Amino acid sequence: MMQNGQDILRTENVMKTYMSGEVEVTALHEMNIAIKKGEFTAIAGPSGSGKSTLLNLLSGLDKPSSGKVFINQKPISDMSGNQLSDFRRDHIGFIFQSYNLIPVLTVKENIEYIMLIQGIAESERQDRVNDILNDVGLASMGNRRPSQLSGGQQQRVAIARAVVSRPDIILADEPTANLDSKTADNLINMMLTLNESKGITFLFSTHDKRIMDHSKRLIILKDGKIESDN
Amino acid sequence: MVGGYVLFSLALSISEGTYGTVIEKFTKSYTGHLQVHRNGYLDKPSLYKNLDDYQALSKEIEKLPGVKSWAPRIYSGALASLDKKTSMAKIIGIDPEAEARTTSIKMKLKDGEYLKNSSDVQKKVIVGAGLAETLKLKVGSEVVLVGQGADGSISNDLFTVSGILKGDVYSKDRNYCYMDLKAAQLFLSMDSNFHEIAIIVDDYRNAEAAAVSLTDNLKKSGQDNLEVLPWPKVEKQFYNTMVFEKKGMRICLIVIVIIVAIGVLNTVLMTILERTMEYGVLRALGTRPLTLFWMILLETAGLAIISIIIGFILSFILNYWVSIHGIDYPNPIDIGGFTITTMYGLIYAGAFIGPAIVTFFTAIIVSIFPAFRAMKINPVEAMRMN
Ligand SMILES: Nc1ncnc2c1ncn2[C@@H]1O[C@H](COP(=O)(O)OP(=O)(O)O)[C@@H](O)[C@H]1O
Ligand SMILES: [Mg+2]
Repeated sequence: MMQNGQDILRTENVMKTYMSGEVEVTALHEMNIAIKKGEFTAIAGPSGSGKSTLLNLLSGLDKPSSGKVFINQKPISDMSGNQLSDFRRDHIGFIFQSYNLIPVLTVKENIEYIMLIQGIAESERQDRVNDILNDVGLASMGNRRPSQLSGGQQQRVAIARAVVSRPDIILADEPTANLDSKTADNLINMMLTLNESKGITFLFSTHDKRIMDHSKRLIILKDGKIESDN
Repeated sequence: MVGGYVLFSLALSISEGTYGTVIEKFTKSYTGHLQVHRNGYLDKPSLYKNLDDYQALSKEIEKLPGVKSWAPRIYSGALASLDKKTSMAKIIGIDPEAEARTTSIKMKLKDGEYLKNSSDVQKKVIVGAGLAETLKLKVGSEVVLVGQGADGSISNDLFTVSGILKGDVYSKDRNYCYMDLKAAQLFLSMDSNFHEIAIIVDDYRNAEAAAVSLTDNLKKSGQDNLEVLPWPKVEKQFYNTMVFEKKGMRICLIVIVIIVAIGVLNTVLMTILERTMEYGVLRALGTRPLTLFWMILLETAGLAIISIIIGFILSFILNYWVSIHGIDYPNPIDIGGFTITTMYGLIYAGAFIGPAIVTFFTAIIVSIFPAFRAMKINPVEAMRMN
């Protein structure tokens, strides 16, 4: 475990361009950003400002056009495909805008999956799944399929899935975009609680004003550039 | 996938069953499953290449496992005439009861009565449809037969027509003239000798093995001038027709295999493609590319095995039903001279193993490419797909 205040993720002059037909679109201009252990950070900005692009680069899901991304001080470009997979498995939790649970698996199995590929023993997995289901208030839903749950419940399963493997940081791309405001508030409060009680680092993107207010650090993007960071 | 398995299995069962029916019909019509002759008789038949030790032969045949029945026969040519009409006839001496147990001769009788076993010599004949037609024979007609005896003498005698056979499609027996074995032996001056024994075993597919073991046993008991041949060797032409028909059927089966393979391809591709988003998620969550590849292959294998198990149960029930009740052909088909109106299935291991192998391996082969692609997908793009 690393110390609070250490950089988990850091970018160095990272830039990303996409080809949109014949035209080159710059989604992110040269950007330097560091996310420290224990932070609870929101990335805000209008649609198309580069929030998703930034998160994908930080997690190694996508490669920058130029510049470098460091995870735990190590440049991603030096890591093999398997190392990068293992890093995500062991250190990063994901929450997606559209939940992205595996429909053929039950709630419990969805939550269990990462621990399974981590090679954690069956009994330990069951204990952790039951604990986290209690934490997110879904203790009675463990054997349901995602399709039998509401959107808010599915996103809570997604949080449970992200948290249960005890990652250093959880990346969430607009986790509340598909939820009504009350459910969204609950969700943010749950994330805050996890941040404070378990010291889990959160980095999430949003364009919901009220959610930005909960954050401890707010980075505002505009047209692929940082407009403010405080 | 289950549908493909069942279709393929049923096709195999019916095609094998139909050939089985034809071969059984054919062999039980006359030939039997195997025949015993003096060496070289079949290549060049002769009155003198005969079997003499009836007792010793029957002892060895009875010992053969799976023997159901057997019948001795005598052959010779003769001229048959009634009034001013004369025709060639093939004399066949039979043991009436043994023959009726071994072949379907009794069922082929159109008019009159079948021969009876008796201790005295009966001068009665059963004639084929062709002979009856040429000589205008009726039940009760008295026909003159002129032949040559084994001692070189010309023999002639008067025989009463006891029965007339149906004109079979497979009209080998059109000019046959059956009589009691003893009458034939007397007519041909053959003492107690005869030419052939036709044997029926439990299954025509065991004929080859039975022939081998009977040959061995006869050799051991010192009778090494005899030749035991299974039906494919006795009836080469018919056997070749069957082989040819089977080749034709094989093309049908290949078409079915292709249909099955396309069905499997479709199922596998659909399941893998519609789950691209899931694979993207699994990759994002930290699944190694190669792990994902194996997961997909394993999942496909599981799916294939479940399909095979369900398919096996369904096709076993279906094949069993078809083997009992048969399926009526809307248009009767002709195989090797036999008209088939009802197809029966055959339950045999190959009808289940073949489809299992095809289903399993096409599923695996077909899943390799999409699994490989899933391994290489960009998780971000895959997740955008829903
Ligand atoms: N795969 C892509 N191909 C082409 N252009 C893209 C792609 N992904 C994003 N973009 C463009 O990059 C810019 C930033 O997009 P994105 O990071 O999704 O913004 P946000 O998440 O803030 O809405 C937008 O102009 C978008 O159109
Ligand atoms: Mg976005």
